[in-house]
Amino acid sequence: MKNLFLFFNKIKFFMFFIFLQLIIFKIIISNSSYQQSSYLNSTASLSGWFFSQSKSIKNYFGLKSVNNTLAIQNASLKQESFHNYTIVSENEILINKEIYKKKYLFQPSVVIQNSTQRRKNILTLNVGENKKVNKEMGVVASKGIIGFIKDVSDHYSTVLSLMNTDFTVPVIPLNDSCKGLLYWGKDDKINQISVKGIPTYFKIKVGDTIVSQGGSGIFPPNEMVGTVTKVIIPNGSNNYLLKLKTSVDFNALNNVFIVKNIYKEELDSLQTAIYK
Amino acid sequence: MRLILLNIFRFTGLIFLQIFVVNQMNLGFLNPYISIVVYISFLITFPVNISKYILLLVALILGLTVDMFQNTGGIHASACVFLAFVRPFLLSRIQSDNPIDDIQELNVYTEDLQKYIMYCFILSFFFFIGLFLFEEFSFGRIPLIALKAILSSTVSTSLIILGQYLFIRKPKKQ
Repeated sequence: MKNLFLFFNKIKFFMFFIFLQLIIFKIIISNSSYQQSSYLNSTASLSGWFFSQSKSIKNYFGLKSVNNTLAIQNASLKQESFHNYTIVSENEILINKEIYKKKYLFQPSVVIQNSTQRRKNILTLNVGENKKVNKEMGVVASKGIIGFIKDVSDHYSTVLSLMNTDFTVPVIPLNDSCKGLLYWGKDDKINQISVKGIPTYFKIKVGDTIVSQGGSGIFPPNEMVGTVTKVIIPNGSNNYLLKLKTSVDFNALNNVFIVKNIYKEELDSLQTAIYK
Repeated sequence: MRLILLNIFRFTGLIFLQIFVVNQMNLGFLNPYISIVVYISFLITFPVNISKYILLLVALILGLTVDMFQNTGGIHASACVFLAFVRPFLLSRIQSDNPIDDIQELNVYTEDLQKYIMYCFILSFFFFIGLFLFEEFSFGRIPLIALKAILSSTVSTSLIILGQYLFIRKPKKQ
């Protein structure tokens, strides 16, 4: 008995170390599944406040490039303006107004923290529940898709970006219907991404554009993802493995939009009802 | 008392330096291989005559604070605690000219430079091994992790040593 106590006395430092590691392990496990809410992240009000302060200083240095993208976006919006269209017939427009109904709303926001070095990269945005942002809303930039909302606090929200090994989304080639699954593979570097699952009887070549499918209601359909840089057919497989270059530069994210689907709840309740 | 205040000041200063300066650096094509970490300088210079259990707890708090800012969810805390666990064993290996109780903190001036660089490198190497293993969460890519750890700890060690020459005042000779 005495020897046992002596033994425990000898290894108590090690036991304490293991005890602390177990506590941390619990925290890591509860954080890694992105469905659960986590308290240890940059949506916490303290770190969120620090990041928005530092962002407000850094914003001055990126003004030029931000201005450029905004100007391009303005120009494309102006082209779509109502005044640029000639009225063909009064009736047609009246019918059109009743057929089309707005489905997606875009909430502008600013990336206040960005990481690109890790395997699981997460962004922080400066809007939260105060702007009616919820979990699993899509996030897009003017050039293409970025990710979806992971956690929301009162004034901030975190985004699981494309550059995260947990992220997958169904995608299709532009003007085609074959569905593939987009993911960030183990060998992919920053601004590179992979697509698997497209059968080889569809013709795909280098330079093709890949867009979002829009089936899950997170992203609008035909939102740009990237262009194909490499077409691989693995041995004995009927599916392509595509390597893409993302249309968004993840090192230089600034102004992004949160996509709010007005009919998301309706779609979700319908789709989950099937599995019950 | 002065020592506690100095360490609190160093704690906040190093975290600010890490989050708002070092993490914003972009190393181009080296970015996936090198991650620079300077805040572990706090644990490296931590006073020797304080209990090693307190060092473990302080390492936990330091790591969790950095995790909160970086959204890394606990991996920095784990690596820090690992470093704090290794440090007492390493300290007992270092033969110091001065009796160990007299030394308030371990910095470039109180120790032999060559020995001190080795000490920093070994500690930060253990830190990065812990960090990258927890980040990958698998033993599948050990060679890559070892390469990343060696590169990162080389760069971080040189920055930490440089930083100590810049920020720590040289003690007067008695």
